[in-house]
Amino acid sequence: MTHDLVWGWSIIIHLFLVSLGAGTLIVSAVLLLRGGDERADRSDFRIARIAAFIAPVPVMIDGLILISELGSFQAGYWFKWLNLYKTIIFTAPMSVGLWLLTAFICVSLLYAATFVFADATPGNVWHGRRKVLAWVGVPLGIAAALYPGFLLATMQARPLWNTPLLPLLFLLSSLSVGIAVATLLRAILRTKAPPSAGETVHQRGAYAMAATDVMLIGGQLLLIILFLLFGHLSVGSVTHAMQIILPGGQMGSLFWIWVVLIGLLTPGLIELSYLLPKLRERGEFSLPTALQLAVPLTVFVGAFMLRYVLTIAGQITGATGI
Amino acid sequence: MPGDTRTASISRRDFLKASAAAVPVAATANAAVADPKIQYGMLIDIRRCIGCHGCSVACKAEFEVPLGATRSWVEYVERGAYPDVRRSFLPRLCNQCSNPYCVPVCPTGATYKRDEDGIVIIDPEICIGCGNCILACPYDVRFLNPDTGVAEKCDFCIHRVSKGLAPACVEACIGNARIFGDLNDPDSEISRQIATHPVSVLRQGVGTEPNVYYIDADHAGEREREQGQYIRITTHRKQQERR
Ligand code: SF4
Ligand code: SF4
Repeated sequence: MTHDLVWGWSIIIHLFLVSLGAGTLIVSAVLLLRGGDERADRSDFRIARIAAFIAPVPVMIDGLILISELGSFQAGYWFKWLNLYKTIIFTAPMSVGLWLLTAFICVSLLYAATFVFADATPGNVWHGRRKVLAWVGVPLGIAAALYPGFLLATMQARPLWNTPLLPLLFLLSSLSVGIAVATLLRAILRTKAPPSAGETVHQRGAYAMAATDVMLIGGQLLLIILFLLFGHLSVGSVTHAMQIILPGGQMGSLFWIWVVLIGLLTPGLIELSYLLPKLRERGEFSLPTALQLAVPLTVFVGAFMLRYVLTIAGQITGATGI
Repeated sequence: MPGDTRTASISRRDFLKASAAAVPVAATANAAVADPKIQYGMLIDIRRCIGCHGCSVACKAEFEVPLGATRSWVEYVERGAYPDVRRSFLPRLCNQCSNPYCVPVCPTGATYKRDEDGIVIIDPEICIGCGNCILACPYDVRFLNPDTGVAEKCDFCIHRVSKGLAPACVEACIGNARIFGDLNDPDSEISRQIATHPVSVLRQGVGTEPNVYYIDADHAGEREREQGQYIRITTHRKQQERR
């Protein structure tokens, strides 16, 4: 069966890059506000700093991709997309999202700028500004992380998308992606310059991050179960549309293997198995470097595939009956 | 005649421009869809439709609809097992809904429901071709015109209607199956027919409150098929299945 997709690769990449940028900004701001500035080994600070530089990039690239895919742009009207900036329509997620992402880009760029002076210590004027921007960045990041979910969830004609669970799922997924970026950075920074002192501080940071990630992954699995349950308990179009991602459905294996197995269960179970000794107070938490690289990669793949499957599955299903 | 078509499409464009100039973007976009004074609607009497596609062809010609796209089309619905069988036709077009899902999601305000006659239109000067409205419509009546980069759909031929003419499909229908008129006027032909016949709208359950009514439409679909009935639906569109 072939389908003409209204929203193809550009929207799928859009949904992923927004989540990547939003999650990275939130994690950077949280690491900083949790005291990354004052920690002895400053590893959290270094992660927060590089994450701050990364955060605006995907969102800006994404803006360019999205504009280039608009029907007007493709038909040769290069600047017609500016019409988006002539109004704000609160019922249209794309309109609100545009203003939100514009604000996101501005704030995240300013926030990144405060890190250019890496040595700004408490008391320094940049230090204060950085904290203010971090406080602004957290709610802005959360809003940006929710936005892709709203873009899909407000489509009343698309039964698979039309549920408030979707924005929540996207939020948790974005936060998990943000933590994956930070975990990668931690692994890379550590191998480059292993801290001699502050080993325990470092481990504590890694532990907090992995523990949060396991909760986020658990939350996503719960939302997916609720999502399927909701589909099962509804009548008509939703139940019908849900078949597409159930085992045996047209996109069932993509969903269960790539999103659930590789993207959620694998990183979740790996992290959990290394967290358990400390949780049961029988040892310390320490994730081997290879896994510090592998776990984030599975999270990225899973998050991307979640957006891929949902974007396509939602479009090729619709109202049933006539 | 080609000459006629050209005149029609030029005047239609002028007409849209004029109406766009008269109504500020933000105001129309945010305004809750108020009850229009006139609400144009259509009643399609399936008993009179012979599935000749005259309406589809008239529409194609009227609007220079690009290949592969459809503003108006006719589906064939076959159901049952011999001797208990039925074959009927289902002409499809935009329902000019009273609660149009395509309107609130438009991020530029290009899509709006006109106060004066209840027709849902797209201002081609404003539309950026983002596709939100196409996905928001539960009837799949919208498409992106690759030449203009703008979303398009049936607009009840407002360029003709505003000059007192009937929409092209109504004019072309050899079975007189289509009645066009003001649903808010109880004395109009369409209102009288609706008052005296059992009528239905498509996908009533989704809640868009369509203004295109049908007499004797066959609503057979997936549900009946799952119950074991033989149902065959032919859409004659590029997207081969009914959407
Ligand atoms: S049929 Fe679709 S495009 Fe037409 S008014 Fe209703 S929701 Fe909008
Ligand atoms: S394609 Fe055009 S009319 Fe449709 S939502 Fe986008 S801007 Fe509005």
